Parts: sequence; structure tokens; C-alpha cells
Amino acid sequence: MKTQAKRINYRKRSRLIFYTLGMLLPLLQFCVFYIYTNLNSFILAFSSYEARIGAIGYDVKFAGFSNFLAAFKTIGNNMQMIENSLILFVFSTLLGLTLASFFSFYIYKKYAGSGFFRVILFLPQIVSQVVFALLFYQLVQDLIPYYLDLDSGLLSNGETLFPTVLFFNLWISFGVNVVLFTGAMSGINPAVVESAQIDGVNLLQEFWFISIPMIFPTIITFIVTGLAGIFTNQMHLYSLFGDNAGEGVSSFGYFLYVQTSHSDVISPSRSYISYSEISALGLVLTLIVFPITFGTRKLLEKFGPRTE
Amino acid sequence: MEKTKKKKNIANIIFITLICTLLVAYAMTIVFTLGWGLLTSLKSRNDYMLLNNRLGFPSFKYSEKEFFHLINYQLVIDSFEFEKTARFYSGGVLVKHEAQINIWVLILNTVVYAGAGCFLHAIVPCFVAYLCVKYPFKLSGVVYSGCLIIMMIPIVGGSTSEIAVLRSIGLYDTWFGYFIQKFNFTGMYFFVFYAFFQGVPNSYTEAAEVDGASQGMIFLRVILPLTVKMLGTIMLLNFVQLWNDYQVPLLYLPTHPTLAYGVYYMVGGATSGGGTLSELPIRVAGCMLLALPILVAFIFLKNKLMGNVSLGGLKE
Repeated sequence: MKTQAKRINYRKRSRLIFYTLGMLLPLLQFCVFYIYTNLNSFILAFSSYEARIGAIGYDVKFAGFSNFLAAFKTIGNNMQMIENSLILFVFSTLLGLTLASFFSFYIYKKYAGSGFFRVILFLPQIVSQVVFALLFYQLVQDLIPYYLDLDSGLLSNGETLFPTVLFFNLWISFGVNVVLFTGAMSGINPAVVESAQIDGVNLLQEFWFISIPMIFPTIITFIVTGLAGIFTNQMHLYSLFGDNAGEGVSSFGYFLYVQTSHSDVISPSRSYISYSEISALGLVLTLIVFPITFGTRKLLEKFGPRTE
Repeated sequence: MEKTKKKKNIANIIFITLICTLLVAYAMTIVFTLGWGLLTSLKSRNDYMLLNNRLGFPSFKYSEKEFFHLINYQLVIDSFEFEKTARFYSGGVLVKHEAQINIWVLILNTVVYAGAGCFLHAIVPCFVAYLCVKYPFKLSGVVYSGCLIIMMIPIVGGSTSEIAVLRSIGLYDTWFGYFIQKFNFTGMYFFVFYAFFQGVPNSYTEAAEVDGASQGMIFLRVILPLTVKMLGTIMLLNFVQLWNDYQVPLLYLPTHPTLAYGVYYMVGGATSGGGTLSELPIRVAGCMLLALPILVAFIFLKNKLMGNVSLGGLKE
């Protein structure tokens, strides 16, 4: 009896030791790189760094709300970026997800060439963005103007610049969504489809009343992640233009990336804002996007189509 | 009755033909773009620019070396020699990192970046999910809820603070810093593994315990073999993503460029502005150099990459 109790105690102890040791490093990493990092965003946002004149290093001072005021000013001066991000979100949600769900339906029904189309749709996820961006850039800047006898490339003309960027984003966006939608559609009970067909349902009705409700949770996820990433979406501008995307086509995701990659706690030049201002801007944008994302998710879950 | 059936058939044909037309059009653009890229990479400057052979097959007269001896590819490989410098504040001191880059350094960096990254980003969520499911201590519930909350909060501009932290502790632009960053269990894969371990019966581990196996042995010899397939798929997905990624190394590892970063650096973004390689066929050859290995791998592993993913889990 005593030996058994001892054995149970030993088992409990060894499980606890293993668990503690196993959790230690991942939790430490989490504390530093998630909790402290995000806490540091607040610290940075309320600080200002000034280089010591004639000496090494910098002085850190409490900046009050000056970085936040600068952040609001940046947002005010760059409303075009918010507009661009919103247009891309609406465009990719309405057209991108619609097309992806049609394509997925075709592949799920295993019509002619569905295996080939599945591979082709997935290719932009496999081949680097750098490759597609360069090839696309040359096609629209060199090949199309040459053969259509245009004065300038589609990305050099103000009127065609943004639609071309939108097209590029749509063009390389399929892949993961098609794979996930097809996966969700393959979960549909064949008996449901068969009985619907006996009732005289055509393919469009099957798509709308059976397949769409089945993939709707996945659609919600894409809409919510799209909304959550509205201020981090770079619209592939860095691959297309490097640091030189014009203001008319920029997004906040791109702006933040360019600023972060060139700046420091003390801004190296007037073209870039300091890390403190970037942090304040990030916090303001997070405060804007969080309730929108959360609210949209709740609304879609409440009013979206249901499988039953 | 017959009329309704006929109507239904016509509607079906129109619907499917429309989707098929769109798919064919899309496939043509992708195949054309990649095919055009491949052909252009085998042309000489004279062939492409002076003779305006933009669309055609490389001319054997003007592109003999480029076509038969892959001279453009050779030029790109030779051009992969550059110096990278990064200056930043580390704990109040201005630090300078320098590196001399060539093709071998790029390949080595890519192997370390994609290899270690894909391994860590799969094994750590797997191990923590296992602990959370099979060791039902209070902390496990807290960790699970924490992961859920993190997924719901969209943080904008967090990389700035992360870089500042890495710089202040001297880990910025170092491999060790990168490994620690990748030692992260949060994210979608945690939930994928969590769902998987919930389906693994406790009797497996209990039987091993009765046989006298230690906790570590149970994980290594009993649990890990069960997850090999899932782990492999996740590693593969991570590997492809990391192989193609140039933005994260550019931000966090500026003097440790990977192949994708190197190609991006050499072609200067898609714009012709900042790149070292000014001639289009050579720049396209640089891109093809990055794309071809992963395309070849994709041909063999496409079913693994596309077949096993579904939101919230992996299909067995």
C-alpha cells in the first residue's frame, strides 16, 4: 500500500518537474517577446530619445502625449493610405473571396482539369513574391505598353497605377483560400447534395444554399483577418516599388514597414519618423482596428448563413 | 418535367462554363508569366532589347551563350558579392554590423533561416500544446486562453518595439536572436496541435508510464512518432514560406541575407532603380534562380503542401 502511494507520488512529482521544465523556456520567450515587447510599445510611445551632443549615446525623456499628437497628424496627413487599404479590403473581400469560392466549388466538384487548376492557383504561394512582382512589373511596364503602343507603363500612369496594384494583389491572392474552401466543401455530406439534386436543385443553387453556408466560417475568418490586418497589409508595394511607392498608392502597412526598416529610436533623417512615433502610431491604429474587427466578427457570426 | 430538367441542365452548363473560362484565363496568365520569365532569362540583352524579341523564343544566333551555357544565371551567381552594413543603437551605443556576402553565404543563411525556423516554429507549438492537453494543471488553461486572446488582438506596429528590445539586449541581427524569436508557441499551429492531442487517448502515455518510461521518453518515443506526419506538413509549409521571405530578414537580420533577400537586393525591388543588375534578362534569371528549386520541390511535394491543410486542423 505504502509502495503504491510512493509510486503515485513519484509519478506526480516527475510529471510536475517535466511540465515545469518544458514550459519554462517557451513561457520565458513569451514573457519577453510578447508581454514585454508590447509593454515596451507603450514605453516607447511615451518616450523621446535625444542624441548627446559631443558624447556617446542618447538621453531618454518622458514625452507626454507628443508622440500621439504626431501620430494623429500622420494619420490626418495620410488619409489616402487609409482609403487605399479600405479599397483593397473591400475589393479583395468582394471579388477575391467570391472568385475563390467559385473556383473552389469547381475543384470540389472535380470538373475537368480541377487538379491542374488547383496547382496553378496555389503557385503564387509557392513562388516568392519577389519573382512574381518583378515579372508582373516588367509585363505591365514594358511588354503591355510595347505591344499596345502606350505612352507609359501601367504603373507609371496615375490613372492606371492603383487599379494595376489592386489587380496584382488579387492575382496572387488565390491559393490558401481555395485550399481551405475546398477542404471545407469536401466536408459536405454527399447525401445532402444527392437529396437536393433529386429535388431539382441546379449547380448555382447548390453552390449558394449548400456550399456557401458550409464555408461561411472560413469566409468569416478571412474577412476578420483581412480587417485585423487592414493597417498592416503592405499591398505587396515593397516587392513592386521598394522604398519608392508613391503616396497615392501607399498603405499604412507599407508606410510602417518602410519607416521601421530605416529608422531607429533616434530618426536617422527627416524622411523617417522615430521608433517612438511609430509605436504611438501603431497603438492608435490598434485602438481603431480592434473594436471594428471584434464587432464585425460578432455581427457576421450572428447574421451570417448557417449550415442547418 | 422534361422541360424543367432541360432548363436545369442548361443553367448548370452555363454556370460551370463560366467558372471554367475564368479558371482557364487565370491559369493562362500564370503559365504565361512564368514561361515568359523563363524564356527571357535565356535571352541576351541584344536579343531582348535591340531586336525587340520580347515575346518569342530565344534566338540561337544572338542568345547562344545565354541559352546553351546559361550565361545569365552564371552572371547572377557571380554578382552575388556585395557588402551589407547595418548601423543601430544598442543600449545607447551606436553599433555597426558588416558582412561580406557571396552566393555560398546566401545559401548557408537560407538553410539556417528556413531550416531552423521551420523546425522551431513547428516543434515548439507541438510540445507546448502536448503539455497543455496531457498535463491538465491550471497553467495549461491559462496558456490556452492566452493563445486565444492573442489571436484576437490585432497589434499594429509591434515590430518596432520588438526590434528595440532585441537591440537593447544585443540580440538584433544575430542568429541566436532569430532562434529565440522563433522559439514561439503562439499562433495557428498551437491550436492545430492542441486539437490533435485532444484526440490522442491517455492510455498510450499511461501504458508507457506503467512500463517505467520517463516523461521525456514518453514524448520522444510515444507522442512524437504519432505527430510525425502533421509535424512534417507544418515544417514543409513553414519552409516554403521562410524560403520565399525577404522582408523579415531585411528587418531583423540585415547583415544575414537569405537567397530571397539577396535576389530582392540584387534586382532592387521590381523597380529598376536600386538594383545592381541592370539588364532585364539577367534580373529575371536572378528571380528564376530563386523560384526554380522551390518549384521543383513543389512538383514532388504538392500533395503534402496542398492536401493536408484545413482551417483549425490538418486532415490526415
